[in-house]
Parts: sequence; structure tokens; C-alpha cells
Amino acid sequence: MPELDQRDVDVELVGVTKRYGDLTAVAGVSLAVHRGEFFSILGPSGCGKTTILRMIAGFIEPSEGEILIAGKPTRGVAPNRRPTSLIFQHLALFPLMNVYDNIAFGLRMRGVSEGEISGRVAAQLELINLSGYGPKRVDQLSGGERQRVAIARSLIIAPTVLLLDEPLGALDLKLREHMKEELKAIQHRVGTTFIYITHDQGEALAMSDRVAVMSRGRIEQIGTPSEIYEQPQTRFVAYFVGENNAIAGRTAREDAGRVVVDTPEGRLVSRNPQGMEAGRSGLIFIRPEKLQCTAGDDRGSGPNALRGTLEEIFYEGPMVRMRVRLHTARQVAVVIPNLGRTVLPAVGDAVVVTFSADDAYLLPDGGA
Amino acid sequence: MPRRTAAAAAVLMLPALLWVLLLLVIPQFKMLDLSLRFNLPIEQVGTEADVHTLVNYHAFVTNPLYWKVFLKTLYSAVVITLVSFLVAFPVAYAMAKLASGSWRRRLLILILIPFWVNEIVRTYAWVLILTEHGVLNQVLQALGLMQEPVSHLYRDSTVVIGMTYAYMLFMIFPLYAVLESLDTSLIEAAQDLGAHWLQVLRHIILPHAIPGAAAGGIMVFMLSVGTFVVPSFLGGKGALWFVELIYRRFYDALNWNLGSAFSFILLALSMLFVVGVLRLFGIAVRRVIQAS
Ligand SMILES: Nc1ncnc2c1ncn2[C@@H]1O[C@H](COP(=O)(O)OP(=O)(O)OP(=O)(O)O)[C@@H](O)[C@H]1O
Ligand SMILES: [Mg+2]
Repeated sequence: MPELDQRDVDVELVGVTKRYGDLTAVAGVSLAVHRGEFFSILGPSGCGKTTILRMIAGFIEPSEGEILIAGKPTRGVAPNRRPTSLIFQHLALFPLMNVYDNIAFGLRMRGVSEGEISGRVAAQLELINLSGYGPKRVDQLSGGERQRVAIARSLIIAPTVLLLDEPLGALDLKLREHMKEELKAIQHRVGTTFIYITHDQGEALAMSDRVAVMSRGRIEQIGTPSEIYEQPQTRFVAYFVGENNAIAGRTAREDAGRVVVDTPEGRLVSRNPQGMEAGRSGLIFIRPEKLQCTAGDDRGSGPNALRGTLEEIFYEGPMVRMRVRLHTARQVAVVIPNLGRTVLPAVGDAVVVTFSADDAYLLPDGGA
Repeated sequence: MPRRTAAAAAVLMLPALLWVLLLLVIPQFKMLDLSLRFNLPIEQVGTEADVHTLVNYHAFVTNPLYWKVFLKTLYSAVVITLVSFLVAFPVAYAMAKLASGSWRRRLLILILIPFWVNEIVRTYAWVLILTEHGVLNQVLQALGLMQEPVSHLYRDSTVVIGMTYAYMLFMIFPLYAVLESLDTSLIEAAQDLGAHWLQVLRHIILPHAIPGAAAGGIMVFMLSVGTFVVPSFLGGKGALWFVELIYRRFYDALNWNLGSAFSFILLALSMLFVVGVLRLFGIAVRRVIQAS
């Protein structure tokens, strides 16, 4: 990634830690979010995502470290004085106010004249495609409409950064898909920096410019969606993002970014992103869709071939998912696109599963 | 099955219904009847001379002294209600929103304990605090803030203090209930959108608390208007309360007819006043009932 000018950084966390008694909710997190970026924080429940967001918004102070917004330190600055706006998980629309008053709230608190407010609220309603909804009561809105009102209410105060705490969590699947696109479109139109929290990797990968994957208060990896998906740097990321097959083994030798690993399945060759030396134990990761599965039991000529029996086929429409039991009793998942041309092996057939060394990578076994 | 449950419900409710009928409804009608008759010597009661009349109500309307006492009572009850709100609101807010679980329970118990004691005893405790050689003066003198001890009793302000204290719970609990139901993230959302704490109070917390405040307010107001203990203990001669007027009609003047009429006037006018105030602030009575 090219080094960016410091002026292009909207939010920067430097060694931020948050402790609750003995519990360290956030441990030494450093990251920089660039202007206009759609930045996601992805991680399992309880890993400290909300805590990070609430520290940026100013509702809690870090125990250690510093948060800079638009280059300025924020310690001691109250939430109402920060150029951030938070969209709460359950939206927190004001139930006693109608849509108009909800959206107008931020401007009223700033003492903007009612004349100017009415114009700006109308513009916001247009932005979220809810023109004419002003007099509606909040509880008369659908889930997606409430969502958009919450976004408009935050955007009207023109925050430097919009913080979103799993805003799609409460929506049903169809609406989520729709709101994903809507959110991305709104961000495109306004150009505001978004920091988006989710435990749904699909959301994070689809919407973000960059993703930070978190686990137990720590950042595991920060990168573009494709970097996160194709080049996980830790075991956690490999397991958490997308589906993965893992095969344990010991490195025999390594050269030129490739590593030869002795596994119970035989010798396998993979990438070596961490530069592991010979004689170390590690896990080879390979995604189901990067595997090929052919009937027969000859080993073929390529190095990476796993023999086994096809145990189950799940026909999923656009894809076919297969479960293969290898000779060592280990199972691997294989996903192949349903091109309609290939003749699929039948359940119970002997199969060979092959993959390219470029698609597999070795990560250390223990620890990170 | 439904018929049997209905029958069972009727049987179960019978004692309560009888209670209300015998001890509340019938005596009230009896009093209403009394208030509409002349105050006759005992031997004439029930004879032709014992006819219905509005003379007792007329007596109230035409005597400015009664009006004066009534208005003063109303005014004091309003002051007591407002002071109760001002004192109870921060307490209720702290309990509902600031205290953690265990502290909340402790605070609730601390607030409840004094009310295990009878109202008369509690009121008498104020006498011990406020009298000439009472606790307050001793503290003030010990601190050198006061040279000559004076009695704080028998003033209107004493009655306000005593009543505010006596009926505090009726204000705290409805307020606590509504504030408890206020989603904390609404407060945070308001702050996040740029509201400082006064604006949060004004635009988020108070509007949400209105039904509770109204419910508590009605209770404190009606209790203050109708109380007898506190004004007679702390108020003394100078601070005449309307209920004392009624009491005197009954027990000093032995004029039950006039006393009954005064009771109904008090009830009707104070209820009218409450409804008027609710109207004024556009508070739907339904919301108040839900909150209490
Ligand atoms: N006020 C608090 N007091 C004590 N512990 C807290 C507090 N707030 C959060 N925690 C703890 O900090 C950890 C991180 O919490 P956080 O809410 O940031 O998780 P999260 O990643 O947002 O999870 P989720 O996806 O479930 O929302 C959790 O273990 C949580 O129990
Ligand atoms: Mg969370």
C-alpha cells in the first residue's frame, strides 16, 4: 500500500488499550483510516469492536494510547464536541419526535435557524430517498427506512467520520442485501469517511475499501478485502474469513517463497508468506473453491494431490459443494462452480483432489 | 371453562368489591347526602324539616375566608408538588441511570426505610429537628452560623418541607419507572449529535419523563391537598390548611353537613385543577395512567 500523506488520515489510533478491571477489551490497537475511506472492523462477538467505536465517538476514554481525529488529539473531548457521528446498533431514533425532528436534531442543537434547517432536512430526505416522510412518526417506518433516517440524522451534521455499529444486524436477510448496496451508494455520494463494524465477513468484504480483522481485543490483519481473503497472515484470519481447509505438517525445505511440507497426506507445496524455515510445524490452508476434484485414484503428475473418497455432494444451484474423506480420515470441503459441462463424480467414488501451490499458504501452527 | 373462570374471578373479587362498596362508595354517598341537608338538631333529623338544600355550598361560595384558605392550600400543594419534583428527579435519575445494579438496590432500600415508620412519627421527627432547641439549631450554632436559636416550626415553609418529605416516594417511584425505561443510547445519540447535557435534559430526558412526572405530581398534589397530619403538627395556628377547616367543622362545630360539603368542594376543585393543568400541558391522561 502506498504511504499516504498524514493530511489524508481522518482517524488514527495509536496503541489504544481499554481495560475493564482485569479484562482487556481492546489491546494495543493501532490503525489509520483515510479520508473518504469505507473502513470495516470485522471480528467475532465480544472482540472489542464496539469498544473501539465508542472510544472514537468519545463515550469512553482509552486506558492507554491516543486517538487522533483529523490530526487532533481527542483525549478529554466530549462526544458532542467531536466531529464524529455514531449510528447505534439499534439506531436510537428519538421515539417522541417525527422523522423531520429526528433529522433536524443535530442542527437545532447547533442553533441553526429553522429556515435553513428545513432546506437541509429536505435535502437529506432526498439523499435517502424518503422525500415527504418528514411528518411520519418513527414507529411507522419499516426497518430499512428507519435505517436510512438514522443515517440522514447523522450525516446532516456533516461529520468528519461516520461510525456505524453493526447497523444491519437487526434487519432480515433480504433487506440486509439491499441496505448493503444502499449504504455503499450513500457513502459514494457524500464521500464521508465510514468506519463500519460488523461480525459478518460477507458485509465487510463486499462494502469495504479496507478491513481490519480483530480477535480478542487485537488487530490480526488490516488490508483490502482481497488481501484479507487471499493472503491471511494469521491462522485466525484464515479460519474466520471465509471457509478454509487446513492440513497440518512439518516444513521440509523452503525456497523462493515456496515451501515443501511433509503431511500425513504426503508432500505438499504451498506459498510461504511468513517465511517459515525448515523443520517447523505449520498449517497449510487452501480454500474449497481453489480445489479441483476428479474421479479416479491415480496420483497424476502434479505435486499437490490428495486421494480420498467422495462422501457427500450438496447441490447448491450455482455451486456444487462436495465433502471428500481423505485416506487419513481427514475431511476436505471442495466447492466447484456449476458450469453444467463437467461430469461430477458420484458419491462413494474414489477421487483425487488437487490444487495449485499458488493458492495454498503455510502459517505457523502455534500462537498467532 | 370460560364460564367457570369468570365465576371464580367473581368469587375472588367479591371481598374487594364489598370492601370498596361498604367502606368507600356507601359512606361517600352518605356524605354527599349529608352535605345537601341543613344542620338540624338531632331530634329533627328525619322529620319534614330535613330537606335537601344547597345552603352549605352557598356558605363556602359566599365566605371569602374559606376561599382564602382554599386558595392558599392549593397554592401550597402546587409548591410542594414542584419542590417534590425538583428533589425527586435527580434522585430518580441517579437510581435509574447512574447507579449500577447493586447500588440501585441499596439506594432503593435507603429511600424506603424511613417510610416503614408511621407518618405521624416521621412528621414528629421534623418537630425534633426544627424546634428551638432542635437538631438543626444545634448544628447551626455549633458551626457558628447562628447565635440566637429561633424556632423553625409553625411556618408555611415548614409545612412545605414536611409534606415534600412525607410524599417524596410518590414522586420518586413513577419518575424512577419512566427514567428506567429510557434507553440510554437515546441520551448518547443526542450527545453524539451535539447536544450538551442541558439540551439532552430538555429535549430527551424531560419529554420522556413527563408521564411519570405527571403521575407523581397528581399523587403528591392530591395527598398534599388532603393531608391533615403534617399541617396540624408543623403548621400551627398561623398556617391554616383547608383540611383543618373541614376537621373543625366536624369536631369543633359539630356541623357534619358543612364539613361534608367542604370535603366535596375540596375534592371537586382539586380534581378540576389537576385536569386543567394536564390540559394546559397537553398531557394525555392515558399516558399518565400507563406510567403509574
Ligand atoms: N462497560 C463494560 N464493563 C465491563 N466489560 C465490558 C464493558 N463493555 C464491554 N465490556 C467487555 O469488553 C469486551 C468487548 O466488548 P465489545 O462490546 O467491544 O464487543 P463487540 O466486539 O462489540 O461484540 P459484539 O459483536 O457482540 O457487539 C467484552 O468481553 C465485553 O464483555
Ligand atoms: Mg458490539
